[in-house]
Amino acid sequence: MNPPHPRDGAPPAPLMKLGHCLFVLVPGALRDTAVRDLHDAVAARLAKEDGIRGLIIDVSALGLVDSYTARVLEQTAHVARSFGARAVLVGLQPEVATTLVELGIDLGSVETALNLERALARLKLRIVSEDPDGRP
Amino acid sequence: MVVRDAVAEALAAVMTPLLVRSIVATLPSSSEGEVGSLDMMAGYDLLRYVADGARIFSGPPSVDLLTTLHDLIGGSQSFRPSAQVLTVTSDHDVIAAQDAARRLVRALFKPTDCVRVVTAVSELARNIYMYAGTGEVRLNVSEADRTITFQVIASDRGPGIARLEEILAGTYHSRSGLGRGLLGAKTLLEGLEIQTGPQGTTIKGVKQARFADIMRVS
Repeated sequence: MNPPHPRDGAPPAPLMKLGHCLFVLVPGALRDTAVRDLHDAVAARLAKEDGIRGLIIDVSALGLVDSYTARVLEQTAHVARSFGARAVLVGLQPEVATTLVELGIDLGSVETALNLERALARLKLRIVSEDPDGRP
Repeated sequence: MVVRDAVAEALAAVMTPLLVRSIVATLPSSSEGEVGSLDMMAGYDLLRYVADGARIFSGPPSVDLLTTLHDLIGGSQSFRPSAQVLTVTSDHDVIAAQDAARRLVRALFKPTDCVRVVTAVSELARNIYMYAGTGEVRLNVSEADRTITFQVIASDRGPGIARLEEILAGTYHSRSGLGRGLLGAKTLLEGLEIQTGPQGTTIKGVKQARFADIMRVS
């Protein structure tokens, strides 16, 4: 028998809004339903919240990205695009990136950045939102 | 003889007593076992401790020293194989298979090879639960002639893989992603053997590394 999995009933991945940007921290080992839930949660949030122009997906905690996880990440990026937000993947571990290439998975349709700072720069977004008077 | 004492004795030939004591003091509890009693996981884990300890206190240890230690701790020149058998019926079990594979190979392979192995196991385990419903993943590590071998055998009694040739040629593309994982596992492992038919599917794959190579990198 397999041991019970410690991550059962783990809370969903946190979605944080930073100015015009939505930041998602993808937790370590994800079971398939959790990957799917993450995708759905991002889609729901983007549909509900106005003015989000960027989606940053932090995958630095992922020790491996297999074809299923990669596909859902890709779909999440596509969904973001359909809501007018650019998706950027950050923090891909080097071994994981190598393996993805060997798996024949092309994340070419998803933008990637080395870290959060560069992702924000790429999106040309500021973390501080504009003040209520509309001044820059 | 207890592993800890055997290590101390071997190190004493090339290091000062103080260094030997410092390194031996960091060893995990598996070092209290008898020489020859350790399996691959415990054995290589212990070798890593010695290598790390030596590196901190006196610089990187030579492959020769580690080879001597390996043969000494292993008793009959090799560690006992480690194995894991997992039932796969859900996406939980895919994670369990990933974790088991990671634990098995962590001390054996270079980090990139570890990710390759764990990813391949994940693909095979996921294929079982997605396309056959239920099955089994057998993982094992063994060594012979200074070569470490990881082996995975994924088996199920599902409907078999249709269009296998197209999948392996990379010409089959489905919306569900079927085929991508199998092709990936073939790339990430060596010599993937696939037997499939209406009675089920068995897939075997291995990953090998030379002792000297993994110890040089560590």
